Amino acid sequence: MIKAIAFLKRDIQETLSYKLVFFGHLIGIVFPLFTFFFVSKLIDGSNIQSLTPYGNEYFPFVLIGIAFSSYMMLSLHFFSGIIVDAQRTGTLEALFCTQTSLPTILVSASIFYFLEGAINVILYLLIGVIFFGVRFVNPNIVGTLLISILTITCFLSVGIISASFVLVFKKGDPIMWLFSSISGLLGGVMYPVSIMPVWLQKISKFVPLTHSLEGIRKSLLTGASILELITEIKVLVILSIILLPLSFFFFSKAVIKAKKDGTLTHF
Amino acid sequence: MEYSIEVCNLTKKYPLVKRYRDILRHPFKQEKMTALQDVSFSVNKGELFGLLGPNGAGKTTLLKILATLILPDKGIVKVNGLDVEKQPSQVRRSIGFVVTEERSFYWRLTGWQNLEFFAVLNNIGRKDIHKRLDKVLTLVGLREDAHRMFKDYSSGMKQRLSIARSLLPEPDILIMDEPTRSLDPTATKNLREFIREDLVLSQGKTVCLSTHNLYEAENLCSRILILHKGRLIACDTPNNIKSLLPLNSVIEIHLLQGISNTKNIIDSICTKKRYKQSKFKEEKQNIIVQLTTEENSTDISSIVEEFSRAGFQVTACFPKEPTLEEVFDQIIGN
Repeated sequence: MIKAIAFLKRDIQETLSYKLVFFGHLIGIVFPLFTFFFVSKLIDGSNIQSLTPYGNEYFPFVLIGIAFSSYMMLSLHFFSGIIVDAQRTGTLEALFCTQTSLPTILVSASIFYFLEGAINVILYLLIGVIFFGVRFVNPNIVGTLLISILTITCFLSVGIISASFVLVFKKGDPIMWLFSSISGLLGGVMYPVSIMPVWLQKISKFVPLTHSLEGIRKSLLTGASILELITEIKVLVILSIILLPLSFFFFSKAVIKAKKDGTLTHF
Repeated sequence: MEYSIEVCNLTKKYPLVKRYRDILRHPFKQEKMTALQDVSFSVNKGELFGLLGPNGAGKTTLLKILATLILPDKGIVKVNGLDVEKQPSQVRRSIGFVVTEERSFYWRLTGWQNLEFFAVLNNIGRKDIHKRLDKVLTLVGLREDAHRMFKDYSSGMKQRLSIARSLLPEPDILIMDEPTRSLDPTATKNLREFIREDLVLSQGKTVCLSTHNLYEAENLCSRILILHKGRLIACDTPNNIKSLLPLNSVIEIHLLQGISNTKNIIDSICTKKRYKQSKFKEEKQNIIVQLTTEENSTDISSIVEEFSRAGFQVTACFPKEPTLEEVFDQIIGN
């Protein structure tokens, strides 16, 4: 815990030393929301059936899609990003020479990004509510949190596998590329999965993001109970159980391989 | 005798990056480059031990194996009696690896903030951190500048902060990879003094450092290991290593100017006596000649006699002790 706080303190100190970061970040959130708000003006009133399960409005649908998918996609990059960053800045070797294990370093270093991602989601939703008049009727916060945690577990596991690739091959990680592209296309971030051809809808069932966004939209936009979210929860639990141990296995093998090849700190 | 570092038959080979052509032709063949081959040596407790070798000799690989950053292929490596392969975390508790790379710090944090962060990672308790940071910063002479951003430090200060970081867990052994690289002469001199006087003599630390600098190795280290192309060439005190070249084989003779056709006469003496002339220097009143003889113990009086007979006035004649640089050149085949 003390080590996690040390990493968090380091990241906050570094971030605060760059004075304009926060404002740039805020602009990066607000501007795309305006774009989607105007697109929704174009769509709303067209009575699109695929939006019916989510309250018939496009903007709240896409707001949740962007807010949560950006967090989840970010969690994919946490570990590999931390490794690449430390390799490039040259601090990785110094970190490895300390009495802290590599998994502890990675988990502790990712806390700042977790919090940053969570704050982003809250900012997205707050801006949506305050400036664009989005209303969440009886939102199921517990269901949303549960699905978010399970999704992040899945994404982090894939992120750890991706970090293993980075340790060994340095660049050209196929896992990250495939997972992000497929999630972005089939996960239902910008449009409901139901508008895709049936064969693509079938494939999308294997994408964790599809289930997490479906669950989160149901809980936030229609106030679905935990029981009504059980399908999504089951799928995400099964994926987490498979992916998490697999990711630890790959990562430990990758560290040994990089230490044998002498390329642990290379990039 | 207890050793700080014991290395026995250490071999390390790196896989070479394949070209596209080789991937197609021999997909399963892996070419390897030997970084270290059957290297064995030991370092005594409280010793200042130097690794010397040209670029690519294997010095950094050896240090990184000691620091548990690279795994050996063959052989046994023990640091403070602990196996680097089987007990890496315990090994890291015994050593301080001075990462001399300037980029190994967070540039937008102060020296103090940097050390505070690494102190936590080295399991130093919250209560002791302040005291420990004070101690190491005072030791390396950075207490006054502790609250300046790292990016504003000079190269010498960055190097000293790196040493301060390695001292945080109070290790018995310090491993340094070219600690004086990129420092100006004054900073180099101060750092060398600090390593020898403070770390080794006062605190009794074992220091194992690598260097290209022969002067540094000769004057700083009690023993030197010379590596060349991954192989151990020599491991001994600087004086013993120098004695690998026969002392009497190089003779320096000082002659007074005064006779004509000097160069030809000296050449003819050398041809007649089979001396090899390695240096001929004419000064205002003196001529300095260095001769390499074929025998290990040349009779100096016979050389003096030979030159006197030719009409020279010999003012001095003595066997010239080789410098470590000459020994190093000869050892690595230049």
